[in-house]
Amino acid sequence: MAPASTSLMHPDGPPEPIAFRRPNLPGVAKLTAKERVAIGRDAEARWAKVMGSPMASVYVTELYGLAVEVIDEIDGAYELVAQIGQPEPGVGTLTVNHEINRRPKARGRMAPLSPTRDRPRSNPGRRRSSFPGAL
Amino acid sequence: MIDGTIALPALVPVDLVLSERHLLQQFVPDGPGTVHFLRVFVSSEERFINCDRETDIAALRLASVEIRDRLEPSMGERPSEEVSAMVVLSKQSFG
Repeated sequence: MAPASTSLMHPDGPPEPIAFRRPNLPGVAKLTAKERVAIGRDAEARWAKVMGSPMASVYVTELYGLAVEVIDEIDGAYELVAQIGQPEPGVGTLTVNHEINRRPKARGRMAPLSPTRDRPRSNPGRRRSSFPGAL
Repeated sequence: MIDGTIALPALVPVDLVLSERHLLQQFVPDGPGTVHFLRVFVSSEERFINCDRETDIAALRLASVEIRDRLEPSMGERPSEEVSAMVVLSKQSFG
Protein backbone atom coordinates (compact mmCIF):
# COMPACT_ATOMS: atom_id res chain seq x y z
CA MET A 1 0.00 0.00 0.00
CA ALA A 2 1.33 3.43 -0.86
CA PRO A 3 2.08 5.73 2.07
CA ALA A 4 -0.54 8.35 2.89
CA SER A 5 1.74 11.17 1.88
CA THR A 6 1.66 10.12 -1.75
CA SER A 7 -1.70 8.39 -2.10
CA LEU A 8 -3.90 10.96 -0.41
CA MET A 9 -2.21 14.28 -1.06
CA HIS A 10 -1.96 16.37 -4.16
CA PRO A 11 1.43 16.04 -5.92
CA ASP A 12 1.86 19.82 -5.82
CA GLY A 13 2.41 19.62 -2.09
CA PRO A 14 0.61 20.87 0.99
CA PRO A 15 -2.00 23.59 0.72
CA GLU A 16 -1.49 27.20 1.64
CA PRO A 17 -2.51 28.10 5.20
CA ILE A 18 -6.21 28.46 5.68
CA ALA A 19 -7.33 32.05 5.94
CA PHE A 20 -9.89 31.86 8.70
CA ARG A 21 -12.47 34.19 7.28
CA ARG A 22 -15.16 34.95 9.78
CA PRO A 23 -18.81 34.87 8.77
CA ASN A 24 -20.83 37.97 9.50
CA LEU A 25 -22.75 36.60 12.44
CA PRO A 26 -23.98 38.18 15.67
CA GLY A 27 -21.47 36.30 17.79
CA VAL A 28 -18.63 37.36 15.51
CA ALA A 29 -19.66 41.00 15.38
CA LYS A 30 -18.88 41.28 19.09
CA LEU A 31 -15.18 40.73 18.40
CA THR A 32 -13.03 43.83 18.14
CA ALA A 33 -10.71 44.31 15.18
CA LYS A 34 -7.75 43.67 17.48
CA GLU A 35 -9.30 40.40 18.66
CA ARG A 36 -9.97 39.31 15.08
CA VAL A 37 -6.33 39.93 14.14
CA ALA A 38 -5.13 38.03 17.22
CA ILE A 39 -7.36 35.04 16.44
CA GLY A 40 -6.27 35.01 12.81
CA ARG A 41 -2.59 35.24 13.72
CA ASP A 42 -2.96 32.48 16.28
CA ALA A 43 -4.76 30.23 13.79
CA GLU A 44 -2.16 30.82 11.09
CA ALA A 45 0.66 30.00 13.52
CA ARG A 46 -1.07 26.76 14.51
CA TRP A 47 -1.72 25.89 10.89
CA ALA A 48 1.93 26.51 9.97
CA LYS A 49 2.98 24.09 12.73
CA VAL A 50 0.58 21.47 11.43
CA MET A 51 1.83 21.80 7.86
CA GLY A 52 5.43 21.54 9.02
CA SER A 53 4.73 18.23 10.71
CA PRO A 54 5.47 14.87 9.09
CA MET A 55 1.86 14.04 9.96
CA ALA A 56 0.55 16.93 7.84
CA SER A 57 -0.98 14.74 5.13
CA VAL A 58 -2.87 12.68 7.71
CA TYR A 59 -4.16 15.77 9.46
CA VAL A 60 -5.29 17.46 6.26
CA THR A 61 -7.05 14.30 5.09
CA GLU A 62 -8.84 13.94 8.44
CA LEU A 63 -9.73 17.62 8.56
CA TYR A 64 -11.20 17.48 5.08
CA GLY A 65 -13.18 14.34 5.88
CA LEU A 66 -14.57 15.82 9.09
CA ALA A 67 -15.67 18.99 7.33
CA VAL A 68 -17.46 16.96 4.66
CA GLU A 69 -19.15 14.84 7.34
CA VAL A 70 -20.41 17.92 9.17
CA ILE A 71 -21.78 19.41 5.96
CA ASP A 72 -23.56 16.16 5.07
CA GLU A 73 -25.09 15.84 8.53
CA ILE A 74 -26.33 19.41 8.59
CA ASP A 75 -27.74 19.09 5.07
CA GLY A 76 -29.57 16.00 6.30
CA ALA A 77 -31.00 18.01 9.18
CA TYR A 78 -32.14 20.71 6.76
CA GLU A 79 -33.93 18.08 4.68
CA LEU A 80 -35.75 16.82 7.76
CA VAL A 81 -36.78 20.36 8.68
CA ALA A 82 -38.02 20.90 5.14
CA GLN A 83 -40.20 17.80 5.49
CA ILE A 84 -41.84 19.37 8.54
CA GLY A 85 -42.45 22.54 6.56
CA GLN A 86 -41.99 26.13 7.57
CA PRO A 87 -44.81 27.52 9.72
CA GLU A 88 -46.69 30.59 8.64
CA PRO A 89 -45.41 33.81 10.20
CA GLY A 90 -46.85 34.29 13.65
CA VAL A 91 -48.07 30.71 13.89
CA GLY A 92 -46.07 28.76 16.44
CA THR A 93 -45.57 25.05 15.88
CA LEU A 94 -44.31 22.26 18.09
CA THR A 95 -43.15 19.08 16.40
CA VAL A 96 -41.76 15.78 17.58
CA ASN A 97 -38.91 14.54 15.42
CA HIS A 98 -36.27 12.56 17.23
CA GLU A 99 -34.02 12.28 14.21
CA ILE A 100 -33.55 16.03 13.95
CA ASN A 101 -32.51 16.26 17.56
CA ARG A 102 -29.90 13.55 17.05
CA ARG A 103 -28.21 15.70 14.42
CA PRO A 104 -26.26 17.86 16.90
CA LYS A 105 -23.55 15.22 16.74
CA ALA A 106 -22.23 17.36 13.90
CA ARG A 107 -20.96 19.60 16.65
CA GLY A 108 -19.04 16.70 18.15
CA ARG A 109 -17.55 16.00 14.73
CA MET A 110 -15.83 19.37 14.91
CA ALA A 111 -14.21 18.65 18.27
CA PRO A 112 -11.29 16.66 16.83
CA LEU A 113 -10.21 19.72 14.86
CA SER A 114 -7.97 20.49 17.79
CA PRO A 115 -5.59 23.01 16.18
CA THR A 116 -8.56 25.18 15.35
CA ARG A 117 -9.86 25.09 18.90
CA ASP A 118 -8.39 26.40 22.12
CA ARG A 119 -9.04 24.42 25.26
CA PRO A 120 -6.03 24.87 27.58
CA ARG A 121 -5.25 21.69 29.49
CA SER A 122 -4.36 23.74 32.58
CA ASN A 123 -7.94 24.94 32.72
CA PRO A 124 -10.14 22.25 31.18
CA GLY A 125 -13.31 23.97 32.27
CA ARG A 126 -12.66 26.94 30.04
CA ARG A 127 -14.34 26.86 26.66
CA ARG A 128 -13.55 29.10 23.74
CA SER A 129 -14.90 28.18 20.38
CA SER A 130 -12.89 28.74 17.26
CA PHE A 131 -16.20 29.14 15.48
CA PRO A 132 -17.68 32.11 17.33
CA GLY A 133 -21.34 32.39 16.61
CA ALA A 134 -21.58 28.72 15.70
CA LEU A 135 -20.68 26.85 18.86
CA MET B 1 -30.72 22.31 38.04
CA ILE B 2 -28.24 19.91 39.61
CA ASP B 3 -27.72 21.97 42.76
CA GLY B 4 -31.43 22.50 43.28
CA THR B 5 -31.45 26.19 42.41
CA ILE B 6 -33.79 26.00 39.43
CA ALA B 7 -36.29 28.82 39.34
CA LEU B 8 -39.91 27.78 39.45
CA PRO B 9 -42.24 27.47 37.69
CA ALA B 10 -40.33 25.87 34.84
CA LEU B 11 -40.79 23.72 31.75
CA VAL B 12 -38.21 21.24 30.50
CA PRO B 13 -38.95 20.29 26.88
CA VAL B 14 -37.07 17.23 25.65
CA ASP B 15 -36.48 16.21 22.02
CA LEU B 16 -38.82 18.72 20.44
CA VAL B 17 -38.75 20.92 17.36
CA LEU B 18 -40.08 24.42 17.97
CA SER B 19 -40.77 27.08 15.39
CA GLU B 20 -39.98 29.86 17.88
CA ARG B 21 -37.77 29.93 20.95
CA HIS B 22 -40.37 31.60 23.14
CA LEU B 23 -43.27 29.40 22.01
CA LEU B 24 -43.48 27.46 25.28
CA GLN B 25 -43.60 30.44 27.63
CA GLN B 26 -47.39 30.49 27.34
CA PHE B 27 -47.54 26.94 28.73
CA VAL B 28 -45.52 27.56 31.90
CA PRO B 29 -47.98 26.92 34.76
CA ASP B 30 -48.81 29.74 37.17
CA GLY B 31 -47.47 32.58 35.10
CA PRO B 32 -44.06 33.59 33.74
CA GLY B 33 -41.36 31.03 34.36
CA THR B 34 -38.26 29.48 32.92
CA VAL B 35 -37.95 27.07 30.01
CA HIS B 36 -34.93 24.76 30.10
CA PHE B 37 -34.33 23.16 26.72
CA LEU B 38 -33.02 19.61 26.60
CA ARG B 39 -32.31 18.77 22.96
CA VAL B 40 -34.57 21.23 21.22
CA PHE B 41 -34.25 22.50 17.66
CA VAL B 42 -35.55 26.04 17.02
CA SER B 43 -36.29 26.10 13.31
CA SER B 44 -36.67 29.87 12.94
CA GLU B 45 -33.14 30.38 14.27
CA GLU B 46 -31.62 27.18 12.85
CA ARG B 47 -30.19 26.44 16.29
CA PHE B 48 -29.88 23.31 18.34
CA ILE B 49 -30.18 23.95 22.07
CA ASN B 50 -29.12 21.43 24.68
CA CYS B 51 -29.10 22.77 28.25
CA ASP B 52 -27.17 26.05 28.01
CA ARG B 53 -25.25 25.01 24.89
CA GLU B 54 -26.42 26.26 21.52
CA THR B 55 -25.23 25.34 18.05
CA ASP B 56 -25.90 27.62 15.11
CA ILE B 57 -25.92 25.02 12.37
CA ALA B 58 -25.87 27.63 9.58
CA ALA B 59 -22.65 29.10 10.97
CA LEU B 60 -21.21 25.64 11.61
CA ARG B 61 -21.98 24.61 8.04
CA LEU B 62 -20.42 27.80 6.68
CA ALA B 63 -17.21 27.20 8.64
CA SER B 64 -17.12 23.59 7.43
CA VAL B 65 -17.65 24.61 3.81
CA GLU B 66 -14.74 27.03 4.07
CA ILE B 67 -12.49 24.27 5.41
CA ARG B 68 -13.64 21.82 2.74
CA ASP B 69 -13.23 24.29 -0.11
CA ARG B 70 -9.82 25.37 1.10
CA LEU B 71 -8.48 21.83 1.31
CA GLU B 72 -10.23 20.40 -1.74
CA PRO B 73 -7.50 21.39 -4.26
CA SER B 74 -4.89 19.63 -2.17
CA MET B 75 -6.73 16.37 -1.75
CA GLY B 76 -5.94 14.96 -5.16
CA GLU B 77 -7.68 11.80 -6.33
CA ARG B 78 -9.30 10.04 -3.42
CA PRO B 79 -9.95 6.32 -3.24
CA SER B 80 -13.56 5.28 -3.61
CA GLU B 81 -13.42 3.19 -0.44
CA GLU B 82 -12.10 3.76 3.06
CA VAL B 83 -8.39 3.13 3.26
CA SER B 84 -6.00 2.57 6.10
CA ALA B 85 -2.42 3.75 6.23
CA MET B 86 0.73 3.44 8.27
CA VAL B 87 2.81 6.55 8.77
CA VAL B 88 6.43 5.77 9.63
CA LEU B 89 8.12 8.38 11.82
CA SER B 90 11.80 8.49 12.60
CA LYS B 91 14.27 11.13 13.74
CA GLN B 92 14.76 12.07 10.10
CA SER B 93 11.05 12.91 9.85
CA PHE B 94 11.61 15.89 12.12
CA GLY B 95 14.63 17.24 10.31
